[in-house]
Amino acid sequence: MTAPDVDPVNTVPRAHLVTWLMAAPALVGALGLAAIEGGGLMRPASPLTAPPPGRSFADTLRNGSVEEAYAHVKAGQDPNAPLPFRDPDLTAGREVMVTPLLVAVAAGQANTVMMLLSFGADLDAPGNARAACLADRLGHDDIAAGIRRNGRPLVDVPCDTRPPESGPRLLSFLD
Amino acid sequence: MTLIGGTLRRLLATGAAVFAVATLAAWLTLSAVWPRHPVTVRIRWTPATTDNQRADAERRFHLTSGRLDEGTTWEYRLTDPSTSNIRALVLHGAVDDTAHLNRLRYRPEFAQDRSRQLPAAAVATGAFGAIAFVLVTRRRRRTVAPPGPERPLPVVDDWTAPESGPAARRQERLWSLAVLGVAAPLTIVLCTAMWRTPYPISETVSLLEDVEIAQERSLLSFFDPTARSWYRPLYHLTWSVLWRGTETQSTSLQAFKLFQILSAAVLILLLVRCVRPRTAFDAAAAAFALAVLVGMPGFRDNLELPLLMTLVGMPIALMLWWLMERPAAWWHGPSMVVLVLVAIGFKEQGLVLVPILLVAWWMGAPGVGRGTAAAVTAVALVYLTVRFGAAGSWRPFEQDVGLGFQVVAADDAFERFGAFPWWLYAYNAVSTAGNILFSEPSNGRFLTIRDALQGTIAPWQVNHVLSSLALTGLIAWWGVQVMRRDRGCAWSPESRVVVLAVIAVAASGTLGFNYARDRLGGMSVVFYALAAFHAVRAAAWRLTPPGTSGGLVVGLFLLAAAWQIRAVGTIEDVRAASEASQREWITALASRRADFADRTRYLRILESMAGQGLDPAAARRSTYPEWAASLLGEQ
Repeated sequence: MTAPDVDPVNTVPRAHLVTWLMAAPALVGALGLAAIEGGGLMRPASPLTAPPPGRSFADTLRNGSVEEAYAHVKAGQDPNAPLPFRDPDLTAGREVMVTPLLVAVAAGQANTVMMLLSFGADLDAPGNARAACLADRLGHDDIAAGIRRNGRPLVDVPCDTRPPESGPRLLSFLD
Repeated sequence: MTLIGGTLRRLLATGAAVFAVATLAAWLTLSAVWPRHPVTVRIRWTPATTDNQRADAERRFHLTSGRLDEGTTWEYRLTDPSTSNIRALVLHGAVDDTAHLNRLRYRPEFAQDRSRQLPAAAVATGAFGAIAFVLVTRRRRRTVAPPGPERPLPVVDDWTAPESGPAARRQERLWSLAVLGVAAPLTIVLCTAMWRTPYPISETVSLLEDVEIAQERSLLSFFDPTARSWYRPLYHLTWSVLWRGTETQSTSLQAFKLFQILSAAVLILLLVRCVRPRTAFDAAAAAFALAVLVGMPGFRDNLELPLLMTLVGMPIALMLWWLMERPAAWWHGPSMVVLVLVAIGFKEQGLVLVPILLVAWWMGAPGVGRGTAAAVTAVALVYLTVRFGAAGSWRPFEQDVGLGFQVVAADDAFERFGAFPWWLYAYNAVSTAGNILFSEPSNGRFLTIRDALQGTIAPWQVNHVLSSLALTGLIAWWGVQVMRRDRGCAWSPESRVVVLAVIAVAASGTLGFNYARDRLGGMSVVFYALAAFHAVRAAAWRLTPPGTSGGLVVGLFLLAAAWQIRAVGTIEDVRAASEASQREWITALASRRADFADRTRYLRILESMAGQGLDPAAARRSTYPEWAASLLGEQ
């Protein structure tokens, strides 16, 4: 009972087929990986390896991932500079000038809020002081706690304790 | 009569087994692919119901796309067809009557009830499969001539065999290179993904802070068994040496990462070296075994940076096996003792090697002498004495514990099970073993079963469980064949692989008694992959004679494909970990700065590591088509 000295592929009927079927997934996997990864190296914009197409900073803060928002900040976007923002739900379609932090809070993007605080958003900057109050009003308790814990404002701004008015969330807060 | 009765019984038993397996497979597969549509229902509201009340009820009961039918009757799409939601809807005061809902069972009508259609279809598939199997078996018995003498299962010849001459070695080199060539894209892409993965904040920054503090005192402090409940002196020493021996912190981080990557790459190389393919047939089985190695949860989970402790022990396990199966030499004993010490020094899981080595010696492995067995036993006894001597400070549960479908926090586990933790310890041990053999549970939680029950099971989960079930079954079949063949003779290398694989799984499970994690099965992964090589090789050999079932050949191909998909999924898993790690750096810097404001050393390390954490070149998941991504893994 020793192993065959001669390759069974050459001596045993049907061994060819069985060998190829056993090896085929590994061969296809190897060729597929080489093609996909090699293609990604040759063409960085390959659909399998390229990041999703960019969108505006305001749109990213509202709908995008924290990585996309960070890419904007890393590319030089000022995290404290007010930007034009319009949204059917948050501002009833009206364009307002608002800071990135308030947009992220209104959109309930906790990760993006923490990213902005990590990379330059200043609670003492105009427009940002009431970010925690906005989070309170919208019921984003975790975001409000994160802002208060990590933002470290120089001056604590008291929040308006009146019940929120109905209507677009961000617009009614700004008014 | 007895013969007929016996044949009938065998047929019925096999049919029942086929029915059970086919039903389970169909159920898991259908759960993943059967589309879920909202249920169309009609509701007649009571005449007193106002528009506002109706709108509130529509929101509450997830009734969408409302369309007035006639009078106060509306047609909706019900997006939450759970029993509790339907019961609340049917019993609601504003609802006068409903259509397309079973008002006794509180379920959608059968034609729209996925949760009842699915098991019915699975059972029908199982019954069809069983009947087809019985019919095919009976037909084959009638048409195929009686088999000749059974062809022997070929033995993988041992290192001392006379045919291991220069020609055989040339063949071995040739086919080993062929296997490595096929494995090269997978290995290179995997290693590249690991290289481009940032260190996470959690685990790494505190760890480096500890290393800095400890090395200011004495390097011997790493060997103090009372310092922590875990004991990994060589792991901490490695960090310390790299920290001191390199000019910049960035260089030491890169050197450590390289060490982790090399451990994984060496493991892959060693597996090919150990299975010694000499024919195309062997090479195909070796490629299969490599996919098993890379696709196992115990391998995948140990790729996480910077937790390389078990990843160092895994190639050591293969080195030991390689030494054990070679003709004895004077240097084998000392080398084995050193290797065992290194594995244990990196993590407690290295202890798995102690029973492995002792059993190999008992089974007559040529490279292990009595002195080596005695020395390793002494090492283990000293280690256990020292560790248990410092056990007074151990907590019953060091980390959160997976239990059933839930995670139980360590403190809660202490509250619930602290008085008698042995049942939970046994559960954790069995969970670790179950994960190695069946890919379920994961971290102690039966997530695939939970998702199947909830109808949210994903294709990758089906692939993981079915491929593990099939391979473990194949290994069990091969193991029984080998042990039968060797009964009454000297143990062969193959029979030692069978026993050592069983020992490795049992020992890994036992050492994972405190909490179950996929990575705790790492040491047994290498023996499982070795067993997979032999099992698939033996099964393929059985399928070579003309007249054997074509279905089984296709089954072997599907099994190889399933494991190859799992292996590629490991790459995406590493990339997902890279994204998660970078996300932590992007979102948690502010909170870490605030939380650790009084620890200047921590803050200094944190800030100095931020560059690698925020590097835009970090590995990212490929944007595969949705069907491919869902097959490769959750990520």
